[in-house]
Amino acid sequence: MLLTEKQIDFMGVRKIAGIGSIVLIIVSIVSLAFNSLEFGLDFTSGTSVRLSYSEAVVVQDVNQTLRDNGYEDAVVVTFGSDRDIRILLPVDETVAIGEQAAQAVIVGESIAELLQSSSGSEISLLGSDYVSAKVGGELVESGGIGMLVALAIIMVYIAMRFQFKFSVGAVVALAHDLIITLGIFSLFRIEFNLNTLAALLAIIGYSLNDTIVVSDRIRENFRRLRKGTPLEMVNISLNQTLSRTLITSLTTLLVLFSILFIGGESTQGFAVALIIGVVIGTYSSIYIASNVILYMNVTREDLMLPVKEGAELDDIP
Amino acid sequence: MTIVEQSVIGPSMGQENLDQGLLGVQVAAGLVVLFMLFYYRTFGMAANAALIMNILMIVAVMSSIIPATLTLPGIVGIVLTVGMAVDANVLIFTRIREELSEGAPAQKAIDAGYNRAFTTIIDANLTTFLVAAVLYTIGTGPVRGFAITLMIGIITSMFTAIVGTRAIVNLIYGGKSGKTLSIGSYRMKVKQDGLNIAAGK
Repeated sequence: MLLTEKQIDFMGVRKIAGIGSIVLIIVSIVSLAFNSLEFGLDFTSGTSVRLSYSEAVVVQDVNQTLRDNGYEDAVVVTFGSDRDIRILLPVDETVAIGEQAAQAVIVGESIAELLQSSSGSEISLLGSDYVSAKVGGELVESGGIGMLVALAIIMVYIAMRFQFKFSVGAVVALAHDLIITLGIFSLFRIEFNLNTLAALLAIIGYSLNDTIVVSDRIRENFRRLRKGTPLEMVNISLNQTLSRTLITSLTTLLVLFSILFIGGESTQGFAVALIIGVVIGTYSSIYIASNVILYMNVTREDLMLPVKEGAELDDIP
Repeated sequence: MTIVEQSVIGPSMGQENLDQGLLGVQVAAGLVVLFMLFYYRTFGMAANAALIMNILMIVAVMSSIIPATLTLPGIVGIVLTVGMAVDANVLIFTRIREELSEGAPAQKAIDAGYNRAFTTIIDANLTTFLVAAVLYTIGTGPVRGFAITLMIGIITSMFTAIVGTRAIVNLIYGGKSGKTLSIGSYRMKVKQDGLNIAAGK
């Protein structure tokens, strides 16, 4: 047996891991279908309220007042001068299409009243409008097509460099990571905004990187080792890459946790999203891609360099 | 077309938030640098030097060649490439340790470590680069910002993590023959029957 050294039999529990992942994916898809995502203001239309103060205004104070009075999702920015502010609020979904503008006026007036009562400065309402999403359907649509094209290109590249079975493994692992991360967002009602979109993009990079490193070892071992079943090859490869997998994941988590605890409110959502992604990505780099290629019955012949390796084999009695 | 409204908008992340976010990133970077130094000793130092060079190069390229606005997804792109640069060095160094634990002399271990990790790094980075290129072509706004920093970062980080660290390592160990390297601890493999085959020796 090749598994003489202290080796962890990762693939011994591959069936359990596979079933676990399938369950998680189904739960995620069901949650996404019924619960949807909690889209932030970047993705939803909203009400824009413009106010003018008689003296300089502190954005943080306005934010605090709004939060204390039930407008948790308000975004406050200054515009033009430090005496003018613009407040963005998510739009009430129940309002009919034609009445959004009228609704915006009502919201504007109540906000102006609220802020006037808690501020010493004179406030005038410049206007309130209904605005459509900053990054709307266009981004979601082009993002969707982009993902499909990206997946197709990855599959072709990996099929060329490795073998088609590895393409399927990598794409399944990538989809696994993205679906479960989105599923967790949907289940726990974590807001999906531009920060989390950025995190999601980073997870794609992270997940691919991890899968390729492991696949690369599997390819190398298939070519170098003469004995052993595909399952043993995968186990050896996973053990050889284990220290790298752990070091990379732990340093990444180290970075993310310090951003989470020190970085303050603005980076929290991002850090949480990536922490979820890294944990799932680490698991999937060990269990998903390699599991898929084993299910597809990967063989040594799939990865042999035709001429050179064949000649070498003949020399061995 | 008529202009309905035009105004300058202040940042939605207040200066305080921004400062705090930056502090978080700085502490995080410091921790990674310390970890690499502690775990890989002299080699960790080489990796850290390459890392600083990498960040300088990304900032230089972004501020001179491409007039880019740095958005959060853009910063994330940079952070991701820095992570990939660290990962490339981890890949190389664990390979060198593997070679050493199989009894290879120092120079041979360095050589083999870089050579063997090279294909892995190329495959991993090229795949990610392809994805970034697609995202850049098809995406809009923030997605594009992410893609462009990622593409620049992959090129600079591959250069610094492979060529940069190799240059520093050669500067320190070049021409010296020896059995030991300051690359942290590794276990010598006890040679047993079968294991040598497994190690491909």
